[in-house]
Amino acid sequence: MKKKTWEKQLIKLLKPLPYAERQSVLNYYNEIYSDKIESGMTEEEIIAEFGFPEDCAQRILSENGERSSTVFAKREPRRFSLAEMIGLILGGLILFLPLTITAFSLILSFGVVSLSGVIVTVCGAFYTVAAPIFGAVTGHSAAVCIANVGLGITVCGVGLILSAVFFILTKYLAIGTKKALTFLYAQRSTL
Amino acid sequence: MDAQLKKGLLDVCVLAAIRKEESYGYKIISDLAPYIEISESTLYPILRRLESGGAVKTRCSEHNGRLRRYFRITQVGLKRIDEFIETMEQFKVISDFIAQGDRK
Repeated sequence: MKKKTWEKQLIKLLKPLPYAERQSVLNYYNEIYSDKIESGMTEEEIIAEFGFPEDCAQRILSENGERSSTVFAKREPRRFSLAEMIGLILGGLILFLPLTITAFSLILSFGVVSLSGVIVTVCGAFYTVAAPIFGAVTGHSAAVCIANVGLGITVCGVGLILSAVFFILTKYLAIGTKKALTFLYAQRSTL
Repeated sequence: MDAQLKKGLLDVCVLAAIRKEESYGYKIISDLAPYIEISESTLYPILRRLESGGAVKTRCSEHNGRLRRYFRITQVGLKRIDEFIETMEQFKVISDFIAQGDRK
């Protein structure tokens, strides 16, 4: 088996592990592979000595299972130097601040449109009821009154559609933004 | 050999291999080869376990244009070796007693 194939299989089998841990395993095997190449061994010999990827993965995963609650929880977070910290904060701001602001602005505007829809619905309903009464009082014909009731119902319907559509949009945009932010926050642990 | 006993034994063997000076994966395996067979896939979990237990510290250094990870023993690691030797001495006493009892 070629090293690339072996490595691919191992990585696939180590999927349950966090990204950083998988990288650490890969670095370990790459280092030993290079050392063995330097000592004069061939690719095939080295891969044969490494054994089946299934066995290697099983050993690592079973060990990880035993200490998963301790090691990954207790692992000290990487310490960054001041320059690295400033770089990370600036990079984070440049990358994610505009996106976050855009997402929140959209949520807010969609929410406002949805609320306006509610107001339009209420106004439409009021117009539907008030138009015939006002028409009767001011002595307008029945046809004008009916036309105004129709107009009121139309406005009411448009308001309902507007509020419902934008309420759904606001809701899913908010859920999406929350998921994206949670994902980005979780990624910091792999740094 | 009992799995738990072997696990403990391998841990101490790895610690012993880096007691005098810091070492790296391939060298640890090669140094231990005359005494105990240890494969790459066995060594990795041991090193991770020892590191998370504070028995070894690591650092990366450049070697032939690539990075190599070096492991060095800590006070915790040295204490583990001493404890192991102490346990083995106690085992020896018990083993002698068992052997004598066998002869009777």
